[in-house]
Amino acid sequence: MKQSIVILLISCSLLLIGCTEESKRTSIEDLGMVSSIAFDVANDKEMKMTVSVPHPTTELPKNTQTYSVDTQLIQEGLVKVSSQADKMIILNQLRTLLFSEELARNGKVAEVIEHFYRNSTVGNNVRIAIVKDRAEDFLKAEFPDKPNIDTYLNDLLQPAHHTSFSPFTTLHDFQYSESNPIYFSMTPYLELEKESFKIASVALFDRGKMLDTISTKEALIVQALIGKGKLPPLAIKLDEPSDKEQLQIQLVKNKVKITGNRNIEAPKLKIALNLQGTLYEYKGDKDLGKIKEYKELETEVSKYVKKDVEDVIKKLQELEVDPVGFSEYFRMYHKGRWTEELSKKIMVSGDFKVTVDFKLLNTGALK
Amino acid sequence: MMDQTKQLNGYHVVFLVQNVMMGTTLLLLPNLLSSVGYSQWWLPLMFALIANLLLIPMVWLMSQYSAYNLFAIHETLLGKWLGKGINVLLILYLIVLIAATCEGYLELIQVVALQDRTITGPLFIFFLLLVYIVSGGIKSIARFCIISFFLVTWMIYFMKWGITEGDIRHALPLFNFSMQELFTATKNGFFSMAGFELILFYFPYIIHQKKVFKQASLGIWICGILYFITAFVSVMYYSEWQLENVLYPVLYLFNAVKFSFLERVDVIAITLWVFFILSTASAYLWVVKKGIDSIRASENKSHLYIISLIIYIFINIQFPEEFQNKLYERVHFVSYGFMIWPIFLCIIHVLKAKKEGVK
Repeated sequence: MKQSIVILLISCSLLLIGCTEESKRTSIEDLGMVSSIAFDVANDKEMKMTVSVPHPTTELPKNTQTYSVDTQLIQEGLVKVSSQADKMIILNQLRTLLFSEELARNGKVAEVIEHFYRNSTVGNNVRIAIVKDRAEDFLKAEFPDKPNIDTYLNDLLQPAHHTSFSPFTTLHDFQYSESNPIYFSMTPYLELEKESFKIASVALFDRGKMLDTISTKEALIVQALIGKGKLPPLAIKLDEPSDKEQLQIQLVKNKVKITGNRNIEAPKLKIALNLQGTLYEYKGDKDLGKIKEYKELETEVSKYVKKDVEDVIKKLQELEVDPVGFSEYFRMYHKGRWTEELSKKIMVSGDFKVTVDFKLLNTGALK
Repeated sequence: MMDQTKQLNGYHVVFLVQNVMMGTTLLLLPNLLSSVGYSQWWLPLMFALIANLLLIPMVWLMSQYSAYNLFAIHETLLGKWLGKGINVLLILYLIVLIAATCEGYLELIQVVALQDRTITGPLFIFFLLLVYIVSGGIKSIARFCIISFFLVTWMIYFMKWGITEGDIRHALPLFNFSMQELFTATKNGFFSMAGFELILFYFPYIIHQKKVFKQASLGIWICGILYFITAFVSVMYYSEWQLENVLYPVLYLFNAVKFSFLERVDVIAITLWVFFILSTASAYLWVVKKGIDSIRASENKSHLYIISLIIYIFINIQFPEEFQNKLYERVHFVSYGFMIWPIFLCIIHVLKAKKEGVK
């Protein structure tokens, strides 16, 4: 009895296989995996969205397809792109989002990023950058020595030691700093040069709107204040007009200690920066074999960095932004809700005392 | 009356308790507790303490009736009809609970992994597995709990990325919330502790009944500590807005993982999560089956198939979204009542014993 039922079941299911729908799964060759998207201002209402899709076959002279559409909504734009593309457009491999400066200054970035953050097919490690002029030019750029713009762009925006002045903002980072009343977002700012891209500076945001850029040197100080351990090499010109003494320092270690006085009405902050580095290059007339002159150089560098830090803080105070997160030292002890107004208040009315202690570890392998 | 062979050793009890507790709630926990914002990180420890206290009356009650499960105790303590009535209500509650657990998970799967398909097929396979595990009895469920614990819990390693990118200063200040906010968080979040009360049903199957309290407490605290780690890392990694608005915070924590050879760890994590869901659902399903057995006063395998079919159909019926959410939300409150229920039973037991003593 039991056996006959089993046989009946098996034979029925064998016969029924013919009735299954044709498999809906698409194979990987039929998918157009979007790797980068660039956003520009099209007109008052619409954005121009440029999508770049790397082509798997290398027979073509250009191995990346790009599609541009004007749209108000992102998803609508993707549907429009799909009607142009020969493949099914999917976002699972998205790596980079580029925004033109104009769009960023209009305050559109936060809206677009929230859309991608919500979408669970998009990973949270997508890199974000603001670009000078038109963003679509970046995706359509052609460099003879770089076969694939998407890979190049993605690699450029990955954390690397010599560019670690850049915040390397990801989707999560941007959403985090946008939604956190303490922080103000930062993103790398790219420029298109003749035969390459360049992380030219760092863009600062105030609640979703781009305000200004700071130079790479200022951004380095900001990263040092955030407490990043590994910093890029630091170029120093000691007596500015004469250029008599120049040095290049490889920063080995960075320690920062910030203490707040817990008083929101009259905020005072002490910043103690502890830097250690080795001398890469030195041009000047000090004899570093002598302890006295060696120590002298250390104090001079400390003074120089201290002034830099103070200048950066002053600039941030003028812009009324706080990418470092100074107000966290007040929020930690504050009962109740913390608001952006409080963060701004701390930043603007804060009294900053900076001390820098620089230690030179060695001067290279030669005497 | 029932097959009363004692089959659960200490390990079985520990893993049964803690794995049944971790269902979908671990994925949602930081979101459920978000009304207290950054201060949520120590709440799981408080919950574990409360759960541990609630365990005392349960274990005491069960040790008075060491060969009975809760269904049988209801009938002895409250009389045949009232007892059976309560058992029926309990079974209905458990059915909705299983449906809520399975549906919550399958919705998540649909959002993350199978966006272009319906979940009917996967759900069917899920139920086949579920019935297979449950038909092996409580020992098979306990063994499944142990294996699923070791298959899934190693993922706690992925929290590393959240810790390195997070900010430990978020843990301060410590009590930065109002009583109302704490109440809301407890109301939403304490449900994550539901599951340890199933000890009321498998108690008769435990070999060393004297050690149960210790073993079950261990289970509760393993679970509590895992919750604590999750909540703490989430507090470090997210802003308060994100805690409130990201629906599955743990999923996004896995999303932060960076490997050179692996892109989307979160999808792997979510698919592995099926082990937790299966262990939770199978334990509850086993209890429902025992309930039906006790009501009909006969052990029958067909009960299991019929209940699974009912739950399968129940999940597949498209209820209006609002009704469904309300129903599943109410289930949480019933489960709170259920956790306190043994205290009343203890009182009734004491009163009854006194009365009999007077006679």
